[in-house]
Order: sequence, then structure tokens, then C-alpha cells
Amino acid sequence: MISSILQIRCLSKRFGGTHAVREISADLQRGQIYGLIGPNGSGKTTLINLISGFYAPDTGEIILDGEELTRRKPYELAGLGLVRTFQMPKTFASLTVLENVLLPVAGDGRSESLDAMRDAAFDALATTGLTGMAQHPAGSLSGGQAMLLQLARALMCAPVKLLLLDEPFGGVAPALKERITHTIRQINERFQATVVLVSHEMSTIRALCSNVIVMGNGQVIAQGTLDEVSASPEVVAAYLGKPV
Amino acid sequence: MDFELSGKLAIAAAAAAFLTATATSAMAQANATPVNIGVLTPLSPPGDSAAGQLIVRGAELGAKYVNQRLGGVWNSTCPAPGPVNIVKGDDSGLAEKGMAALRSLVTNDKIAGVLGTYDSTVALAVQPLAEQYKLPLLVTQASDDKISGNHTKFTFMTHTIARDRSDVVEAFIKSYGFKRVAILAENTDYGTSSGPDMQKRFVDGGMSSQLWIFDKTNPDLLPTLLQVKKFAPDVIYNMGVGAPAYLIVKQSADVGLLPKTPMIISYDLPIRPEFWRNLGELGKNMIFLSYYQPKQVLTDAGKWLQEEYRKSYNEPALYSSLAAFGNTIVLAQAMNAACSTEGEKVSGALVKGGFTSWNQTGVAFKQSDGVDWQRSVQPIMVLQYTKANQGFGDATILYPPNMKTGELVR
Amino acid sequence: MQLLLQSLTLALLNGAIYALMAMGITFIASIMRIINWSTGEFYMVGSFAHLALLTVIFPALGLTLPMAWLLSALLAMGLVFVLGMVVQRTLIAPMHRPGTQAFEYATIMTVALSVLLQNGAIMIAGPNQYSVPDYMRPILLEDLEIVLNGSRVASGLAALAIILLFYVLLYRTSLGLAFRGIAQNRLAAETAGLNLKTMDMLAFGIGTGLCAVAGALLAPVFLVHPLNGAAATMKGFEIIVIGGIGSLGGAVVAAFGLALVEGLGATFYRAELQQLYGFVFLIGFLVFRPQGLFGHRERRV
Repeated sequence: MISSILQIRCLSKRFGGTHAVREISADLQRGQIYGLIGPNGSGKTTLINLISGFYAPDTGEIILDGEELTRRKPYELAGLGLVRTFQMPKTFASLTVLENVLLPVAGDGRSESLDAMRDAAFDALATTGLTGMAQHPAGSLSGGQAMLLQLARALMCAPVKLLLLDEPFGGVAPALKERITHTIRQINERFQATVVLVSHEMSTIRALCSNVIVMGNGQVIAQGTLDEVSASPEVVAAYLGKPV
Repeated sequence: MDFELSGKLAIAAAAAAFLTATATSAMAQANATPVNIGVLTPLSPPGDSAAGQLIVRGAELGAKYVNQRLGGVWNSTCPAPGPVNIVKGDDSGLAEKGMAALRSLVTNDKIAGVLGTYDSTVALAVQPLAEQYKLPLLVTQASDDKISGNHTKFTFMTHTIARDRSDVVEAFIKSYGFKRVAILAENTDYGTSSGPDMQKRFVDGGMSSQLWIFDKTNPDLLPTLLQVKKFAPDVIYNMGVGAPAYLIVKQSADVGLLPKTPMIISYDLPIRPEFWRNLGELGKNMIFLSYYQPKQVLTDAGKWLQEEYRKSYNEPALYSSLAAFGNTIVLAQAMNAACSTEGEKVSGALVKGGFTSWNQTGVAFKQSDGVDWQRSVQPIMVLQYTKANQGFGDATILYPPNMKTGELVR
Repeated sequence: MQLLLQSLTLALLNGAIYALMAMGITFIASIMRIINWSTGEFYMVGSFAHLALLTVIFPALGLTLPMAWLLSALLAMGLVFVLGMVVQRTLIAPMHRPGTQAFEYATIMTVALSVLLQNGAIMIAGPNQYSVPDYMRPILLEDLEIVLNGSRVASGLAALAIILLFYVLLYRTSLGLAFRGIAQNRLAAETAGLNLKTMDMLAFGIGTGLCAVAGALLAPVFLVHPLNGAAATMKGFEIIVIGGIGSLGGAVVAAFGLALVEGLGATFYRAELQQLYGFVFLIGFLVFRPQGLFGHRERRV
């Protein structure tokens, strides 16, 4: 049975004179992987920042699995199962990779000691292929490995309900792209997690996403399979006639 | 608040006057505006506010004494006597704050005289202001030689100057036959002027002496004291003021200088109640200078003060309070003698007359040469505790010889 | 030789206490990104709390324990830990919003706080100096002709133990990991689910607690009075600049280094310049290695 996990109602955000997000409403289903695409400046990252609590919306509401999110702090969202990654990976450079993965556990008030969580952490590292790097400082990782590290950290925030990925493949070596794709699938399957993937790489979108949301000028201009949206005249117009 | 205070004072003064004077003069006094006397003293850090508080207490009781026993002072509408009123000014031990506070006392409170200065830097800074305002300035506890050496018309010294103290220490050390004197002085005005002077006196006197000037803000004096230990003195002159004085005692014990080397503290720190609590056994045999000893015979005014002080504060009055009390009643006596509160006339009376104060020595301000200009010389004693937790009154008087009550314990 | 040994021992003991204070400052700086200018006043409050506990409250309760001083110092640390958290939540947190101008005011608030605490102490306790009984008898090393103040030895050792415990907290517990994460990257730490508001409050409590226990331990050596924190603040800042702001290891190394430079300089050259040696050391670092021993060349955002 398909059920709704995220409802967005009439969400708007202005920055001065720029209307970055205009009255977006959407409904995302549990366990689906969505591609969020659109030309530069169409409001994709703003939307991700709104959902993940980094911006407060001017109007509208966001409901994750029955919980209203708009008034929550970013740290509370992790506890509710909402996890995001950043385009420029945010890792803790001088902590080891293992410590980076353990960090979400440190803050959630769980009584288990770090030692008890070590197995789960190594499991997450195995999934992301970072086991060999466990004792290295995170600062020594490549961009792709740092992205994998963010995903490994997401695995520790279990159960993940919604994973927001902002350009996870930007500047990543092809071998690691495979690994990232694999990990995203793992998270999606293990937790029945909904994934929203912002990317410009249509091949990975096609491979991963059952559903694509296209944004243009702060609004959702099309939604459907990649083939469906490619055919939409609005989408074609938004990309200035370039074929998607 | 101000209104309430002056009202109360007027009522108190009136009640006192009923006992001593006629009904008519009492009516006049109740109606008279009080004569304000300023107390300019450190009441907040970095000044020594402990001393400032004692000075204020002495001055306030001085005013009470003047109003109850002397029937107030002569107001400008002579011959109707008016009550005196103490107005506080906080100098924080800083020259610039002292100057600002004095200006405010003069312009806002219209004071007719000021006393209380504790730090020499403050006294020297306000001295020209007192000249400018023609305001009698009684220096309660500052001790720089320059204060009287400046020969200013409105400044009067009742406190001993650094030279008196140095004279006493020198004479004491000579008379007890010490040969190697270590001097520890602070990097303040007091330490950097008196310290080298003391060393020179000892060396000139045929002794060997070394001087260490330490940083007042640095609580760790062990490195200094290790050097002192190497010098192997037979007496240590501790010129620390406040916390450093204690630190020198404690840390001298740490390096093994105490208890075998006699130590002299340059002022009456050991009479403060916390001395024994802080030092315990280490305070035993401590030698110190004092301007007062509880067994000494006081004037009637001095006895009155001790009694009132004990009633108000439940402890005996110490030198700072006695000195400020003395200054207040001397000033009032001068106003009475001049039949005026005008600075020129009061100063004239101060120079002319002899006045009663708290001790038997009395107060007179002759315009003598050098540092003895308008300065009333007061006795200094060298005392020694002979057992731990000893009361101030039981300390042995070692010096001057005519007051001596016992022998030096080593 | 004897003099050298004695001043080296002293430097070691002083270093431990310096390290405690500097860690308090640098810990708060690395978590909250503000400099706590009221460090010396928390040191002072710690010394007063210790004085009250040891000389008034324990005797009133009829408590006679061996090592009561250690219990008292730790309780003083606990009290200031709580006070620090209350102060952080009520006075600093409202302004502490990184990236806004109000953030700068949080630092100013700590300056105001130092004045408040100092004057408060004068009002409550008066301006006099107090002391507590020595923790231990002097230690006499006969062969070397060295006498060591028992309180210095005891407080130095206690300080080392507390530093060690603090390291265990930081490197062996989940709370410590959370702190280290926040010190690295506040934004990422928040995304990972750490409540920065709570962690900031804890960090301020811990940092001020470390300074307080230094003040408490040193009570019999450097006395208890409202202005006894001034030297602590100055030394603390010298050390964190030398060690590199935000580097705990740097703070520890710099603390021992400073104690050594001061002690040797004062013993073998001129004692009155003791404070100056520290500043020369500091200026040397600012000229040749401005980021400090273990600091980074630029401040992380």
C-alpha cells in the first residue's frame, strides 16, 4: 500500500525581491525515490533548505508523517527521521571517520555507550565502503568519500523517514558514484525511506528515481516519470528549449 | 532619601542641643542648614575599600560627636551653630576618579572641608583642586612626603609620612642589632619610593641590605622569595599592602624563611580580624607598625568614639576610623574657632590653634620647613605578637623605648 | 642546582593550574565561538564557594573528613557549573546567535558579567582577603634542601587529575564526541541532531567550572578575595593565544611552557619582571607563529 509521508502546503519563501519558492504544494509517498530537477535558480536548494528547517518559510506548512515541521529546529528534525546531506559535504574534519558516523548517536540522549553503537557504525561504514578509512581523519577523504560519509551518518539516524540529497554526485569520481547510488538504495530499502534527490545528472535520475519533480521559477511545473516530464511543454520551455 | 537623612540629622542634632544649650539656640540649629563635610576615600576597587569603609565610619561618628558634644559648628550666619553632615565621595584609589569626586562634592554638595584621602596619588591629585576651591583638605591616611612638602595653603597632614615610618623602622632595626635586611616592596608609588630609601638607609648604616620590588598583581612570589632565601637575611621588611602582604608571609614559610627569620609588616595589617584566620601559626612573632594600640590612653573624645563604635559595629575602632574621626572633630573645632565655614578663615584657624583629637598627642599645624609644613606629627609604635591568635591589645610594644612593654621574641 | 630543581617543580605545579584555567576558556571558545571575559570572576566565585564550604558549611554540619578540601573544591566546581549554566541560559543565550550582530554582544555580556560578579563579591563578602587552612603539611626534601608547600603540591596534583578526567570526558564519552563535533562544525552538528542550545549551556557550565575549581584549589596559596581572579584571566588568555585559540592540547602545552618561562625568569633573572616574561613569550608567538602552537591560520567559520 502506498501512503503519504510528506505533505507540503502552499509553501512560499522570498529573499528581498526574489520569490524563490512560490506557493508550492506537494505530496510525497513513503518509500519512493524522487528526483528534484530544474534549471539553476529554479528554487530546488531553497525548497530543500525549507523542508530541512534551515530557512523558515514565509507561508505554508510542511508535515512529515503527521508531524508539523515548520516550527521545529534543525536538530529536532533528525530525531523525527529527516536527514539531509549538503552539496559541499559537511564533515568533522579532525574527527575520525568512525567518530563522524557515531556523532548523531552522541546527541540523541540514548543511553547506550559509544561502544555499544560501534557495531552499527561499522555496519554503516561497510554499506558505504568506508570501513578501511574508519580511523582516518575525515579531513583526508575525497569529496565523494565525504558524501558517502554523510550517507553513513544518515544510516545512524535510523529510522530514516525522509532523506534529502542536494547534488550528491557533483564532482564525484565514477567509481564512487556507484557506491553512492548503492547506499541511497540501501537506505531507501532498509527503512522504507523516502528520498528526494537534487541532481543535474539525468542518467542517475533515470536509474534511481521512479518519480521526478520539475521546478521552474519557484514553482513545481511538472511531476511524473522522467519520460512524462520530458514531454511536458512547460519543462521544455523552462530549460530554454534544450532537450531534457 | 537625602531629605529624610538631613531631616533625621537635624532632629538628632536638635535633641542633643537640648541637653547642652538653651532652647533658643536649639531652635536655631534645627532650622539651620547642615554644614557638609566631604569624605573622599576609596570605596570600590581597585582602591582599598576596606580602609575606605573604616574611614567613613570614623568620619560619621565624628559628625555625631560634633553635633552631640560640641553643638554643631558655626554656620555662616554666625553666631547660630548648625549641625555637620558627612557626604561620601568614592575615589576608587585612582587620581582621576578622586578629582571628579571632589569636584562633585564641591559643586553639588557645597562641602566646607574634605578629609579621608587614603592613597597618596589621590591626595596629590586633589591637592591643587583644594587650593583652587579654597577648601581645607585634611589628609587622613596618605603618606607621601610630597603632600606636605608642596607647602600648599589648604592641605593639612595628620597622618605620618613615609619618612616617619622609615625613621622608626631604621631605628628599630638598628637598636635590635639586625645586620642583613631583606626588603620586599610593591611596584607602586609607595614601594618604589620607600623601598630604595629604606635600602639606602640600611646600607648607609653599615648593614647589608637587598631590595626586591615585585609586581602587585602577581600572586606568585616564590621565585622572588627563593632569591631572598639565597641572600639569607636576619630580618625581612615586608612592605606589601593588602593581599601581597599575606602572600609574602605564606610563601616565605613555603621556602623556609619563616618562622626562623623575623618579619616586619610595614603597617597595621595584623590587627585586622582576618589576620589570624588567614595565617594561623604563621602570624606568631609577627612584628608590625601601628599608630594605635588599644592599651594606649585616649582623650575623652577618643574614649567616646571607642564606646560608640563598639555599639554600632560590635568591634573596636581601628586606626583608620580613629584618624578620620580625629580629622572631623579637628575641622569642626577650627570652624568654631573661626566662627565661619569659609575655607580661608578655617585654614587660618587650623594653622593658629591647637586641637583635641583622639590621642593624647593633640593636633597642631605649624608652617615649618620641608615636609613638616602644616603637619601634625603622630607617634608610631612597633608591636609584636608573641603567640598565635593573640589579641591586638596583648601585642608587645617594642618601640619607641619609652612605651616599650616587653622584649623581642625570635 | 637546588634553586633550579625547586623552580622546576613549582613550574610544573603552576602549569597544571594554569592549564585548568586555560582549558576552561578555550573550551567555551571552541564550542560557543565566544571569548568568556569573566573567566577570572568564575575563578573568584569558585574560591569563595570553596571558602564558604570548607570554613563555614562543613563545620556547621559537623563534617570532618580526610581530604575535605578536595570534596569542597569539587563541590565548588559543581556549584559554579550550575551557576555558569544559569548565566549562559539567562544572560548569554539570548544574544548568542552565530552570524548575527547580537553574537558580538554575547562577548560584551561576559565583560559586563565580570564587573557584576566582582562588585557582587565585594558587596557580599567585603573587600578583605581570606584564606583556607593548608591542605597538607609542607613537604621537605631534605637531601635536596627543597621545601614544597603542601597546598601547592595537593592542588597541582588535583588539577592534573581533573585535566585527565576532562580528557576522558572528551575522548571516551558520547557527550565528549558531541562537543568535539560542535567545536568542528556547528551547522553540521546541528544537522546531525545535536541540540546546540543545550550543548552551549553545558559547555559554558563546564568551562566556568574548570576555572572555578582552579580558584578553589588555589585558595590557601593565592588567597580568597574579590579581585583574585584578575591574574587568572590574564594568564588564561596569554596561554590560549600561545597555544592557539580552540586547541585544548595547545592550552595544556602552553600552560606548562608559560609557567616554566615565568618561574625560571623570575628565579634566575629579575623577579619583578615575572609577568613580563609571559608577555614577551606571548609577543614572540604573535610575531613568529600568530596562529599559536596548534592553532589554525584562519578562524574556522
